[in-house]
Amino acid sequence: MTSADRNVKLTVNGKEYESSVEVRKTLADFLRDELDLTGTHLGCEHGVCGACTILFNGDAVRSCLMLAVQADGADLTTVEGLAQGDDLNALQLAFQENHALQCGFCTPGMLMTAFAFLQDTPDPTEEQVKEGISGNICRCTGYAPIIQAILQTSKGPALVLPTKDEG
Amino acid sequence: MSQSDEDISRPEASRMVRGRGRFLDDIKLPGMCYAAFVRSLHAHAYITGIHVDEALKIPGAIAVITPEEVLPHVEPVRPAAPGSSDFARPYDRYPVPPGKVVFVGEPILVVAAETPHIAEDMLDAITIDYEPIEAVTDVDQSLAPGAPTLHQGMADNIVFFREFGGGDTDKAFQQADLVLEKTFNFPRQTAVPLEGRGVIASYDRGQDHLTVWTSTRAPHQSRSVFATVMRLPEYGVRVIGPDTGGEFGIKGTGYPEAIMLSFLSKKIDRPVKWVEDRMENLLACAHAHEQRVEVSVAAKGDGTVLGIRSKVLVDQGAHCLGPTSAGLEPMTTGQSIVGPYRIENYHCEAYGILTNKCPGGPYRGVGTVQGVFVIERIMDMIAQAFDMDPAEVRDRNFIQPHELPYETVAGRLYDSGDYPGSLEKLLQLSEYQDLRLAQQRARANGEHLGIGISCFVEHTSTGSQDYHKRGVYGLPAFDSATIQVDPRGNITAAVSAQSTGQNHESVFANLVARELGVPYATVKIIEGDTDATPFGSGTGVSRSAVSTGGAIRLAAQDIKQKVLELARFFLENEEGELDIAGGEVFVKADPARRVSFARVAASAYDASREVSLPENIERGLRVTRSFDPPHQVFGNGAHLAVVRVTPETGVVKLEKYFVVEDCGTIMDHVVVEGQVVGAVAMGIGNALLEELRYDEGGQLLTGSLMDYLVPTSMDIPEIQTLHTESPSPFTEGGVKGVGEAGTVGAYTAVANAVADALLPFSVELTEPPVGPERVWNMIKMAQGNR
Repeated sequence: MTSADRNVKLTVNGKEYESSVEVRKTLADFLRDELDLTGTHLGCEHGVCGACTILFNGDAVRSCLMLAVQADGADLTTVEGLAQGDDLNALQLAFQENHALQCGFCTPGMLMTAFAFLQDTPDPTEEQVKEGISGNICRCTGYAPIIQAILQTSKGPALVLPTKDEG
Repeated sequence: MSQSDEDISRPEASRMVRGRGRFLDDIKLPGMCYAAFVRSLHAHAYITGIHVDEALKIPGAIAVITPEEVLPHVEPVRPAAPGSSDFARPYDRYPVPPGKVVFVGEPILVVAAETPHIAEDMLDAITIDYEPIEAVTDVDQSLAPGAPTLHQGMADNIVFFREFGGGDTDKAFQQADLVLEKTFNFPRQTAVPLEGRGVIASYDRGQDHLTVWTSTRAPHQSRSVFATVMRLPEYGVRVIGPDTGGEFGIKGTGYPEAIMLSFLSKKIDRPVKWVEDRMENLLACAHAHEQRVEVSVAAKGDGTVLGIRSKVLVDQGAHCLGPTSAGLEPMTTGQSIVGPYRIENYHCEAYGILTNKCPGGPYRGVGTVQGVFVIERIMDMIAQAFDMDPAEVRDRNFIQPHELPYETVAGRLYDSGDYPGSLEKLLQLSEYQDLRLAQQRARANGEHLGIGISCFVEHTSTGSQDYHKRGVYGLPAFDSATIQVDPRGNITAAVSAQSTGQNHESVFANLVARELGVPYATVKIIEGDTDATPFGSGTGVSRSAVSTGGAIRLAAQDIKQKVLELARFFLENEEGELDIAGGEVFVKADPARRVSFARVAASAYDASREVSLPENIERGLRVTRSFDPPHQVFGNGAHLAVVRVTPETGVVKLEKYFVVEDCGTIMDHVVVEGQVVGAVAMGIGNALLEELRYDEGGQLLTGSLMDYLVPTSMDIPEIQTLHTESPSPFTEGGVKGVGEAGTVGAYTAVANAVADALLPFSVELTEPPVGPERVWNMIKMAQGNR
């Protein structure tokens, strides 16, 4: 640990971590490099594309625009934390069923954005879904199947995060 | 049983929604360090000094490699490498600049450090001395007498030139009732896959062997380039392509960064990783599409096009990138301008011209998008001149179905399709007459509603014959598949293609399952590793369904034949016809007599208790076949866009979008629909948003995704599609490629709709993208001209 390092203690996908981290390290890099949670992707590193979106105390945030030290004490969820063990949640299943991904690089960020959106807007219109994901770029699908997947999920039971012991 | 499209599981989707994809940047190797590149700050300059000492003092710094250190140990890459072109002017491109930089962002030095952050710190501590010289930043400057030349050994900046065509254009123009002379200017654009480029190079000194992990669509062609440049035998290089986060043409071969990384790994004896950031991606990955096209068109009073003369001037940037690129845009645009129409007199001068900007390469629909734009804008201009409906002008000119296969005067052989039929279906799907009535009402209310049509043919699956016709030799254009059945009846198909989002793992597994009559779940597709897959061209030119699919079909047929031969030993040497379904081989005349595919497979490995094969039968169950498309095959389509333009702000709102698509026999409806809709979205971005801009000195002005805009969910309307199938007579199963067609159609349908909306202002639309700024300026200019 150098003078440019700080200790952080945080919860990710229900698991507690304590780690020394360089103060200049972004939260996205910390999750990917230190915790090996590589499902969080980096598409632009300037907050435009949304691929790095995670849940930060329940809110969708861009992990490329935060430093890891800012996450001290926070409760985070990444794409790896959506499924209960091997069982995908309804949103993940809907993405599969609707062919809502091609290369899959934007998918983790889309799922996290959509998850938070559906918490805030449980019964959205199509226009609301479009707006809800407008900060996440997908270069492959043209968005229509993603929008369908989110609308389909909204018709079912509310999404919940896995219980902690299995997360 | 093989299964229908709807209920096959897709392995890619299953891992991606879990965050379990394995992309380049997700790979960590023991002892791995990190690279970063010092890039040129100047568009054109001599390098007079390099100062790296301070950088090497930073704790965690490992090495810096200068051009002088690299140059004696590498071979240059020629414009059409690994092939050669009759029409490209040869020059040597080295992976590092030999004394002179030729574009802003050109990699000069590579550094290595223990972390990516330290590598970037090193960049800040390195100083390069430059002696700037005059830069040429557009084709006029580049062609001007006395213009500075970019590359040693070239007398000028023309890197490609070819003149071609046929018929008698002079006669056509003599007979014309209307002559249109138009100049189109196309913007520089780039693919922006969400995942940028990335490379890990790992050189093993003990084995004298290089392994390169790279986000690529063409592992085998990449290996050829690495082996050539690094002076290694091909067996001394292994290229591994992990999951690829989008590609759209630009993750091909020949990027200097990958070569420099290989060299670096060899020097420091450690694995080294580089992942570009978005600015590097916009600055130094391939650009595309920047052209000026000048056309003269001769038309008869009934709307028939008699002849076209065209001059295609492609702003190639500072280098040709990878195979075919010197002629890629000039030839593709030049050949595309005749469209799906019976144009019998054509003459084209196609130029590739070097400028001090980022090198040009492929981007979805490359070359075709501009050719189609030209002819489809012209069709609308003819309609306007003769007060005809745009659909009617196209109908007057279409090649008819009975005329196919049709050899165009631009040197292509269209294989199959019903071009008038596609337009007819589009007009029905979109309820065209009602749209025109709605437009009349809108115009009466002072609203600016526009309807744009675009009809096109699009070449897919270029084979070696077509490359030869274009003067390109020595470029592999076949793809291969190795199908292996293991002793328990499980099947792998290792292929030369590389999926970058096209779902090869499910599409090809389903193809194998259908061809062999075995369950889908028993088949696994292997891609992206030159040690595990047979040699082949890779993914590109919308070719995988045709060329890799063709190789799979041929290999599966051979495997099936052998399985049937072996099955006879289980069926009392039955001589009658056998077949396979549901994983069981059965006697056609007496289906109750059957044996499982797996039991037969075991016998091929001497692993069967029931059957011992005679000695003269080759053991194992493994076949490799390849397929080189005998001709390009042509998908066709017709698109219609409806837009609303607000003249006060220039804002274009897309309201409706319709697609009729014909890609021959469809292998997987879900994937084809996904490719078409996704490609349309990309074409909408091309038409309305995407533009790379440089200043006069050659500095890129659009280095972030806040400057280079790609479509969001708010920009894409509902897209209605109708799929129709005209099987190709030239391919296995009648399939054609489809990956790029949507982009090709959308670029012009949207632009034509905007032009139609702006008809009351008498503006002439010849310069996409038609975003608010350009629309507003066009209206102001038209008003100023009155």
